[in-house]
Amino acid sequence: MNTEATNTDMDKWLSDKLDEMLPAKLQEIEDAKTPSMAIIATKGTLDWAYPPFILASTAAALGWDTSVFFTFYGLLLLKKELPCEVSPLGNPAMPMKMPFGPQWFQNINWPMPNLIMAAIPGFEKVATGLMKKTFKNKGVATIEELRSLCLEADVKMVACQMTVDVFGFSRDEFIPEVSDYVGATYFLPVAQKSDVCLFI
Amino acid sequence: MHGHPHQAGLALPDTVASHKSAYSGHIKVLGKPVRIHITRAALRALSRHGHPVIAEMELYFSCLIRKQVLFSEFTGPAAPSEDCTRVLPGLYASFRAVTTKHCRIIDTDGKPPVEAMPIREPRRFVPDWLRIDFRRGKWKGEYGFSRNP
Repeated sequence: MNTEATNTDMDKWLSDKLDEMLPAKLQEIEDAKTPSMAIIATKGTLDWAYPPFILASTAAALGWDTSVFFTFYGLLLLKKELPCEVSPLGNPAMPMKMPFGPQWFQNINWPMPNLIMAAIPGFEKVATGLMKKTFKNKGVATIEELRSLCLEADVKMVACQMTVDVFGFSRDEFIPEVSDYVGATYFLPVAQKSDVCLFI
Repeated sequence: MHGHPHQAGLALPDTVASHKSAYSGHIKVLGKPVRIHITRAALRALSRHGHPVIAEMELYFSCLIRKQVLFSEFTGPAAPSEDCTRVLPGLYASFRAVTTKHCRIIDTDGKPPVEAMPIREPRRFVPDWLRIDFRRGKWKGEYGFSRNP
């Protein structure tokens, strides 16, 4: 009887003590932990190249452990010469404004029929040039610069080996800073353990 | 210094910059080497300027990452802060990363409400090169992160 009472008292004491100490200890562990981010980049056009590099460089700037898995068309973002272009065709959200001329001219959103955008050769090159000029006018960092920033900030860039094989690429087409060529099976645990996981 | 095209290093001779040719060299900002190029027009403008000019390379973290060089005059009695690197007599360079709660791109030419970005290792984000020009009565600056400006 006395033993039972002692055990019960001890259990209560331990429980009270844990209630008292555990939240602070867990908070301490949480505060000391380095946040992490995993990004899966699946697109290689100019407009879709910005989000993974901006998010990765910002997270890395804040001291987060950041990894980006480039797969499918996202693999193109690892090429030595970035081939990023943008097409307004099938992209109705893209504003069609001119990045030159007086302000009233620049404010005009030109309605461009799909028939014209599809029929005129080189229209994508024009659209790409105009978008790059728009960004340059506003001082926005280029994709090349953002990638350099990411590498400088130790963002881990991982390529999908399957995509390399399927599209017939060779590894020397990519920047030497690619840390590994892996499959989804490798990256899923990284994504699982990260605090923030983004699919772009 | 009289327009020597490739002077490098921190210790610059304390002479009036010549405005006969452009200046190219290296400085260190937050310990990181930065290639710098100053056009002839900018050197001329510097020689005419009464107060030291500070070229601040601002890296703006927001929905997009924006780079711009902000120019200001330093009119205080003492030298500019330790964060500023002396480039030439009368010219200093510095780097600052900022962020803002508001994402108004229209403020890119004005002064958006910015605050210092809590970067863990600012040195990693210091640019590789800086170019300074003076055109139509205004200072123009550009910087970048590639090795070849």
